[in-house]
Amino acid sequence: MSVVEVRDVRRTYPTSPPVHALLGVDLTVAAGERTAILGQSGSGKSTLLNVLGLLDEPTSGTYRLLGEDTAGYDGAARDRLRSRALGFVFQESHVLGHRTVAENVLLKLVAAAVPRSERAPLVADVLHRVGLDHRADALGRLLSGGEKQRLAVARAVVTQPRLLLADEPTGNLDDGNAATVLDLFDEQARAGVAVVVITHDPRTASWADRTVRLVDGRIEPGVEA
Amino acid sequence: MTGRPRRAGTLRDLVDDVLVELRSRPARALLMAVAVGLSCGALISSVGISVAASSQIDADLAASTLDVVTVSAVPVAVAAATGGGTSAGAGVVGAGIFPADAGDRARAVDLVEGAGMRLELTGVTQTTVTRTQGETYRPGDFGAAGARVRVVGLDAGYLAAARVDVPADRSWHLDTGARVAFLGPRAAEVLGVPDVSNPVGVQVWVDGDAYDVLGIVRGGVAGLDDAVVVPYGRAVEQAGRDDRSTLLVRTVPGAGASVSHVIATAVRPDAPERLAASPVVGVDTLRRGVTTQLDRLAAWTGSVLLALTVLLIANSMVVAVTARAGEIGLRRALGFSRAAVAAVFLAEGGLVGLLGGLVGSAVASATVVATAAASGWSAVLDPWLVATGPALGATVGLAASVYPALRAARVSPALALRSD
Repeated sequence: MSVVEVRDVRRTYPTSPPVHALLGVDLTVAAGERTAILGQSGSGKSTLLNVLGLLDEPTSGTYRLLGEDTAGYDGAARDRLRSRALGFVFQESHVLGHRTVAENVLLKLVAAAVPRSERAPLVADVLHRVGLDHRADALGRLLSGGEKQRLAVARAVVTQPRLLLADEPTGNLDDGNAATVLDLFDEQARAGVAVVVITHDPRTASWADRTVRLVDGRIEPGVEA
Repeated sequence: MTGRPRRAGTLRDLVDDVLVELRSRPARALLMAVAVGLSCGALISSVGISVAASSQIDADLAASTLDVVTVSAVPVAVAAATGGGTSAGAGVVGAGIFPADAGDRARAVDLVEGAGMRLELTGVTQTTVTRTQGETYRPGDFGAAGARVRVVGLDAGYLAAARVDVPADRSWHLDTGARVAFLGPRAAEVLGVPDVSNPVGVQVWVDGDAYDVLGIVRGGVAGLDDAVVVPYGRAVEQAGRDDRSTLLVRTVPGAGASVSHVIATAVRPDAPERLAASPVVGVDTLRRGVTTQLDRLAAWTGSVLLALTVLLIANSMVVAVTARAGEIGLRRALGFSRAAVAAVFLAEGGLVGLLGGLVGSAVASATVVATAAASGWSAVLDPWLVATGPALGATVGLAASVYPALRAARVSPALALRSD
């Protein structure tokens, strides 16, 4: 089953002059598939990630998530899907430095309205899986770069999403930490989670099942593997 | 987990969330709470001080005015219209408005401490007052700069009721029918009478009759500074009427209103409608007016402070929204709705305001007590007023957070995440 089905998606920002960020993108991502999206700055990678993550809406085209056309979703439905079916891994600055590691993860469970009694075991389990259980009470700002990315992964996957979206997850990491993060993504993929990663990092590109290159808002023909 | 039924975020989650935020920025939270506390405290304490001041003014007015009742004659036409006749009772002096023993009758009333008669002769008749026989001066002619001398008929009871200081307590002479006079200090100065305790042999002439001056009278509520005081009986005799007379009644403190309701009947049981007691209600109105004005002043002052605080907190929170744009974007990406994001800022403002309000109540209570103590007042602290502090603070915090919360809700998550 396809988790993501994008057909002729276009996104134009109504600036003056208008910016055409996506010019008819087609993309399908199956459950358990690892996809890397490559492209230079301004090629539309982030816009595509925002569309896939329901943070932005396409100007035209169709985006089916888990088999459902997202065009009919209102704001509440998008919020609900983001909290439960989607997981985001951003750059390390999106770890909340004034909250503890556990509180950072907890925020996703609160957003998903997971009952309070279930939260602590879920947080403990996911922190154990990413190797941060001993840092649960540490403030986010005190973590190393690798720890921050592992925390970001933990926060993204604690609700067992169906689609994991990552924006340059290994760009600032050394080889060891990059490998750890990719191992965590592998774990998710083996569990059936579709993983889509935007990257410039060759390590991540070579890790993916397939790579897609965006050039000027279009997927470059022949590059998709 | 996608199949789990969606529940609205609980209030407890929201409070927990906000407490984490406040804990992470304690200085900012403290400053905002202090701002709310000071403004709430200022409002509550200014109202509280106003209440204490009002209470004191109330007491002072009560002490100074609510124990004095003035009884005067009602014009015949009015009295007839209200059912009264024109019959004179036994023992009525002159035209028969006041009985000769009006003072005694008034003093027989419970709660009355003293009473006496007064007639302003000046204005009723063309009375002349001279220092020596044969002079032709009239009131108003004496001295320079418009000095005036009035002739007033009083009895001894009046001087006592008005709490006028009479030298050597010679006031009883006024009730004997003798031609004696007391002078107010200004009148004595105008007439050239030396201000001594016993001016033996000094006389003034009132309409050609010599009156022995018994001394200078001072103080009290009678307004006798520029008066020549003669016996009340002689004043009535000279005026030929007593319908311009007044009966001054001194009661125990606070009993003025009660006495005013019965005094006319006590003095003229046969025709109480011929007499009217002074409008004590008017004094009550004055007291209420003073209290109302003080309350309004305090409320306005406090409200301006509160408005300033709302602006200060709103400004601080708008800055916070800008600074936390990345966090807002993250929350939206994690699945928080716009309303949930706005709720975080509203709850933050409300909670800070609540804490500030508690501080304000405490500050206000201490301020009112200290101010009252320093001013020698009785501290009047309405528990309900103090209890409004937290509610007031929470309201201020919420009001200040509305605009920042709306701004936070409008933050585009995609843009916020990219720009962070």
